[in-house]
Amino acid sequence: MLGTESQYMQYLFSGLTLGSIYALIALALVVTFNITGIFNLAIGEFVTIGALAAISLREVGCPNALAYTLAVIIAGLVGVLMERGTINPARKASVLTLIIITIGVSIALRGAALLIWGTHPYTLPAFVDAAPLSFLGAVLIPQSLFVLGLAVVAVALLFTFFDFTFAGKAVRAAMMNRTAARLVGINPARLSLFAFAFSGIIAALAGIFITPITTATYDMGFMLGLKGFVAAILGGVTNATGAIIGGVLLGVIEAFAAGTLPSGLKDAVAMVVMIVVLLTRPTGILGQR
Amino acid sequence: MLKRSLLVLLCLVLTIALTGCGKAKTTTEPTAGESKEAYKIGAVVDISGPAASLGEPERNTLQMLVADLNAKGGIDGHPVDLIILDNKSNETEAVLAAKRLIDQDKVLAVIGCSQSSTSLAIVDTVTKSGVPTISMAASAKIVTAEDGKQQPWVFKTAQSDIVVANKIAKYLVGQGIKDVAFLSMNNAFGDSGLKNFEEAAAANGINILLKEKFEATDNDMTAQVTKVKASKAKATVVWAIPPSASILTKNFRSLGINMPLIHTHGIGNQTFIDIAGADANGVIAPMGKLVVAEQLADTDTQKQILLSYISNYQEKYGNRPSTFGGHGHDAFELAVKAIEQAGPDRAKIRDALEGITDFPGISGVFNLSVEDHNGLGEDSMVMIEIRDGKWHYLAD
Amino acid sequence: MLEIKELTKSFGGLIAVNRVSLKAREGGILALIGPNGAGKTTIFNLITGVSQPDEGAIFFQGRRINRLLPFQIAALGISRTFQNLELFTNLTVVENVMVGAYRKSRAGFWKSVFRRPGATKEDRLLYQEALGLLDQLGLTLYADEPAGNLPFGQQRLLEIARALAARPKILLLDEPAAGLNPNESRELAVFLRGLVNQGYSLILVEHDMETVMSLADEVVVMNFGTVIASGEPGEVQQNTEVIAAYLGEEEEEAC
Repeated sequence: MLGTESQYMQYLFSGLTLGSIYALIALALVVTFNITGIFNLAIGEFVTIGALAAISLREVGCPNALAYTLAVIIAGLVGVLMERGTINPARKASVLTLIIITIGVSIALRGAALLIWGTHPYTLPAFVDAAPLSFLGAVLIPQSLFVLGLAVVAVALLFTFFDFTFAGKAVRAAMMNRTAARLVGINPARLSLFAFAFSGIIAALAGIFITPITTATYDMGFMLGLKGFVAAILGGVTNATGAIIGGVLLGVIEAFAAGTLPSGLKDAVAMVVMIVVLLTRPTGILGQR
Repeated sequence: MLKRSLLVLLCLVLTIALTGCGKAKTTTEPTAGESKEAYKIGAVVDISGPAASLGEPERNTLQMLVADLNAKGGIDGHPVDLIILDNKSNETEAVLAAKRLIDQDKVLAVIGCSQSSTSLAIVDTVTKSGVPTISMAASAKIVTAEDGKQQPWVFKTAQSDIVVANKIAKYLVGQGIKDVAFLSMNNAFGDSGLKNFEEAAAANGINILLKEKFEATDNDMTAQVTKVKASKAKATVVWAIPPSASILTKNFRSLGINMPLIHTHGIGNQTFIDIAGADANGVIAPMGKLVVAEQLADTDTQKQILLSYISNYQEKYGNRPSTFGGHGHDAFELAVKAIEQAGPDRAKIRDALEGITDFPGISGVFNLSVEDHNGLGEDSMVMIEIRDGKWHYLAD
Repeated sequence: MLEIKELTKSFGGLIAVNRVSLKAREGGILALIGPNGAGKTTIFNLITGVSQPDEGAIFFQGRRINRLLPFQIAALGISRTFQNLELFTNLTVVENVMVGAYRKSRAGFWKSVFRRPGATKEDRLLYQEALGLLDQLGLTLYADEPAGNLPFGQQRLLEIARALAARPKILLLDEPAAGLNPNESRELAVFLRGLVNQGYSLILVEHDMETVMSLADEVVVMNFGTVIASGEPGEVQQNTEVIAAYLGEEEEEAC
């Protein structure tokens, strides 16, 4: 028999796991937004690319570590291609136009994924073959710990970069004040490239880490990207910390909703959250202005 | 400025073009012997979307069979033109596809669809136009109307979920289990299963302690499975198809729940095992005999036809066919037999179908009639258990 | 060193800069003065690439720069401060100055991304140099404060420190004395003279005649987008048009 506290504990674990993925996607979105002023709405497709590329590489014989590394690099390269091919040429266009361009790219990437991988669901093995851990009456599978770990490491690396490296300071400066940054010699094109490559890499890692739990399909990116966007809004898009908090919070809310409401409404939870945030506190939990 | 706008526009156009490549229409044109007029058969199959693991083997089987048939000269020398449309696992697309086949291509019969939901969606369309239709899906509702009479124009080749529910109930009784949890997909297949299992459970003294639903596209059912763990159920029955069936199985195992996990014929393909991995071991389900064809007694009337289907499919496509492919196989063969008897007349084809008895197919031995447009009984299924990633025949 | 020829810029129907020409000598202070709206800040924007001129050309050390991007112009050795302050308010004071030295950092952006944080010689060097500059401007106390917390006068000085961090060849200062009290203004004037002695060239936009007269080697007076007088401070002061322009403004201020 599983008591209610244990049930809630289980929902919490579920929520933290999926929430970590939302947090990573939100982080990618927020960093790109702050550096370039654009919401990269194709971010979900990079999750797909990371997962499916890793799966294909394994299928042709690559050992896991190599397959995952290459998949992440491929995602980064696609990010670079996207920035050079569609964003940079249109950089003088309005922000709205650029966001619409990212939507176009997401449709293209999804179409390409459909052509290459078909509609089949694919899976990756769990990173370690260990038994699930029992904790306060609820079960935590080892893969969940990897996902949480990835989120923590990614955030730690990002904060180290921003606070302790010169390049990080330069990027933060550019995020704050693009005009002054240019006049100090910072090349905005290079920053834009960095933003898109970086966000592609983070999203790809998220995809690889979550696939052992949820399987991968060509259209997995759509919903994940959407929820990542909601998480970013929830946390406040001007703030990387907000992105993390927003993602984890959204994941937990969703998990509890799935446990208490009819599960068909689970995806609607994200939409409801977004509407509530935009109506009551549009700048998000940690946003300013 | 203009040049840049053009480049952006070009990118957008390219992206739309790339995605436009989704509309798949596969036609198997008859090759030789153009002398006699071609017989047109239409098929609406869930080739893409969540039910792709059902639709793909069905499409493959249909293409294989029609190629073989035309190589042998078709039906009485008439080549067969099989037009296969993808409904993307979507009810609206299914209706549109059916309409197109009936109105534009003027097919003699329709084979479709792969899922209960999409099959039910086209019932009205084919009934209004009077086109004999053979579904490959499970729900009894597809052929049985509210008043208990058979839909005049619709048949089906998958074992009815009433049969499945009864088989599961009898297995539970045999194991001495009285309290179960019931998890189902939130669609026509799952709902039909729920209704029929409730009836079968009531008839066999089984209590359903807990009923939970999930979406076909969900990628995490930990919440529902947690509730199962918290209940007093002694076994869990799951009414789903892959991938959700596999994900649920993985969630189930990861929570360490120690009770029999019983699925339905909805998991009858390799995809289920591929995605669930080692967690699939121990799963019990009633299945068509195809998955354990080699383990059947030689005296089994279906064994020959099963083995030859397996070897033909394997030769052409490189892997073993699934039970879903088998439903497509039976639909095609029944249609062909009926057209052979009746010629190119929709109403006569329908009448011919109702007269087919003792027809060994992949899904079972068919005994169709006016009162029974499915024609399969409990003997068309056997209980199996998955061991070491393979289907294992559980002799009664 | 820096030469502007027939520079013209309009915004909508308004001509902000009308065929302006001037030359800034190497190693001197050129003051650009005039009433509000004369087009002085626009000239700065044109020089640094923030705006593009409609007509005319800008030459820096003989090289035409009006088609280059702002970050490329900065890389050539032109730094500026802003009338309305464009500090990186989310960074600390010392970090602002360090980022100012961006064009000097030889490692380049990508290598820096992947290096170990804080442990490199160059980072430490940049830090030391930044502190040195802060010291020169009397800002050492504030080194680790977020730039946004400083009093206004100190923020202006910080902008100058940041502009100097890149060791520019020429420094464009947009109203550096605004918001400073008379004492601070005098100290700033001394400091700016000191810069010239160190080899910098300066172009000042200033509103306040007194500061300008004591500081500048050469003065260019603008009004309504055109140059109405240029020459040594003494000459310009006597120019009747100049007096009229400023008198008109004094009357406005008196009202």
